[in-house]
Amino acid sequence: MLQISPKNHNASSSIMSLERMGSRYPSRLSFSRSMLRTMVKKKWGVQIIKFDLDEQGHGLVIYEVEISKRIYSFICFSEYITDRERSDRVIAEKWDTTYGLHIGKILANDIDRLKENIPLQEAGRNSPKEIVLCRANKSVRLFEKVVNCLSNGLQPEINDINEVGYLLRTTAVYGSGKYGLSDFMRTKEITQFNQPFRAEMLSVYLVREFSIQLVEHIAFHRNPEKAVKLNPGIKQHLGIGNSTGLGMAPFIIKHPKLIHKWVYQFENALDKIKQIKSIEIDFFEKYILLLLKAQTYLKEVQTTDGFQKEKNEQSYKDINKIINHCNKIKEKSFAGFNWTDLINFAEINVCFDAQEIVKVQILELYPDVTDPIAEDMSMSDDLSIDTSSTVNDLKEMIENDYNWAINTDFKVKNNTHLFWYVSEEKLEPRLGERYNEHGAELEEPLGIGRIVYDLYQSIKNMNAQTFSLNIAEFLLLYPQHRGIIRRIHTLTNHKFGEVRDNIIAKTVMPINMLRFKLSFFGASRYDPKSDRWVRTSFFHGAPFYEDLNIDNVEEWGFATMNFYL
Amino acid sequence: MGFPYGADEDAAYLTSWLELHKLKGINKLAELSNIIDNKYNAKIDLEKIRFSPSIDLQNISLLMKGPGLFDYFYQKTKNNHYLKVVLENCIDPIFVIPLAQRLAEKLDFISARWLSDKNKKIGMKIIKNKVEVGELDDDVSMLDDQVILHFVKNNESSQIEELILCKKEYEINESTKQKNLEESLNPDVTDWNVVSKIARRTFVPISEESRKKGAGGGDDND
Repeated sequence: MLQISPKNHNASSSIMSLERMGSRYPSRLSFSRSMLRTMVKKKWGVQIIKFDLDEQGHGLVIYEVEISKRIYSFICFSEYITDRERSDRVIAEKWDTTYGLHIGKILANDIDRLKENIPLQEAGRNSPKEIVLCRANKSVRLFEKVVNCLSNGLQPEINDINEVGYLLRTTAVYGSGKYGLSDFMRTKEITQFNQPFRAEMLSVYLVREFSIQLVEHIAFHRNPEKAVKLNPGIKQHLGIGNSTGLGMAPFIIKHPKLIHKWVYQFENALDKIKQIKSIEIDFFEKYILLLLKAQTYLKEVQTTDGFQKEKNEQSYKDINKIINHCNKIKEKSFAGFNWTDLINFAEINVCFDAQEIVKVQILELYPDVTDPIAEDMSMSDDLSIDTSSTVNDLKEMIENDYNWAINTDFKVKNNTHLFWYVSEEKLEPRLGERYNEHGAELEEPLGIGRIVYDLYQSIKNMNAQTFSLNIAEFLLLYPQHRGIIRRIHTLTNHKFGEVRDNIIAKTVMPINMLRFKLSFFGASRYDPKSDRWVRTSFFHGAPFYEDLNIDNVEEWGFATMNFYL
Repeated sequence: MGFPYGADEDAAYLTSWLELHKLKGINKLAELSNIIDNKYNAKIDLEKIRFSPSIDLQNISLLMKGPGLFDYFYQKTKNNHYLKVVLENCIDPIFVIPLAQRLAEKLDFISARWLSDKNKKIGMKIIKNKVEVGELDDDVSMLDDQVILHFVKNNESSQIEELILCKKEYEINESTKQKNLEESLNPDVTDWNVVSKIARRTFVPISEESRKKGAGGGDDND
């Protein structure tokens, strides 16, 4: 029998509300962080084994990554495209650079095959020897500016670097079975990439390495006499850009157990830390420094989006409140202090973004707690029906777990204003307006709130005999409810798996779902371009491979301009 | 094709599971597409089957009726430790394999037998996540379009059907799954085109409005 979860759902309902999801920040548990940590701990080796670019930087480069005596190859293609062809959208068909992560050494015949397919991206066909497929475009604002500076023997201004944050910007990173790539079911068994998105994060890190090689190479050939390399401090402030659109939102709805696992592990780490009774004063002082660093980051981070600017400004002010509170604790009442006190203070006194910063910076202090948890972020996506539970149990589960859904009036048009669909145009996920646009009949079943509401309306007045049926019997009579019942049953025991908001309402901000997922990936510098897509950076402030070591691998969260001095 | 949420995922699972294990799932889906397209019908008369040893599928695909029925069989087996049931007028017994395999972790033994198109007796048994499929050579009589199923739970070993495969054609387990994952799936192009054509119907057609608004505005370059 399934356990009916308790009626008090405060934790999961607030954590998985859209507003809260859209306030998250990267942490030690994020996939970019855990990948880089593993790279250092397990002594992954990275070297360039082929560098074949012409003077304009077009051609081919291959990196080899050695992990426990196994080789993985990262192949990079760089080609000329016109400015008109360059676009962040999925519907683009050409890119400045394209990449593949391949299992093993790349042989001559592999190069021909990969050359034919990888630059085509979605239109090409890969083999199960490839794990990741991705592409990146040059930043129009920064790439040429940096080439110019370096070729004239000058360093770019750190403020210019900070304004954009990257030389190349990925516009899609594909893995797990897409376009012929190795399925994660296999990847996790036969490679060292056994955590979600680990291979993807390695690829993004290598794109960042490549971005520097590329810009320095072009600068050198433009003016071999005067050209210089990027100053290490400036270089490290460069991340790799990323454009993320609506595609991430369906992922969150379609992989609820995995999402539960990520959030559960975050909460699990915090809960363990909350149990710690004795906190050293120097630990607490280090924490205040981490808050100050986050505050500086908030001041420096650039965005043109008004809403995000307001969020950053509010968070800056609120972190000040937290720092003042911490200083008071330090001076007056440090004995007996524990982290729960501070988290409770934050929950009452500061905005969601600042609350999240408070939490992720606490996690920074406890690698012994967080780092093993970061290696346990995977979970099977199978959903299952508890055939022995009854229709009455189902009704109770809905009333307990989906009160946010059954209390929404879906007869009000604003609550069904949007519909999610897949466009014929390169299968791009999009949002339409149900009452103004065509295509609602092809809606994707992502509006879970409404589907639950419909189920509840249809069962709540059924007779006692039906309520006593077990679900296996009920579904023979009402097979149309199969998907939603399977979801409800599964998520009764995975309480962080459901977004607890109506994602087809007129007021919904899809970008909140994007930011939630991006935070677990480890992306920072959120720069929304609309309510449906966002630019971010990965590995911003992280050491490059040649400088990477055990002492600096964890130091780059909330990186700021003076961090490298 | 008219499959509701959940039933679509089941049908996709059954098809792709067969394809992964080289049992021509895409071919079967393409072949069935004419008769199942927009004719979703998974409803079963509970009162009719509750005490009956056989269930008439009325030539309706297991892609539609299979998932619900196998949950029902599982629940009955859980209660009674053993279940024997005959499916009548089953047009696509091949889907019994993934349907049964999904229950493998929860039951001790599952077997099925049916007649192939060429009138050969086909048997399938699942013990501890190992699936074996092959030809049978025994005296059990069967009719066309019949599938005889046995389910056992809680080690009722006396109930386990003696099913001797004289010619084992497939063995499916974790290592064969990994081996198949290593090779690319390569469905027949004609079948793939049939399925792709159906899939394309689920995509919203290109329009300027959709292109501009659907994925959000803003500068798509920098």
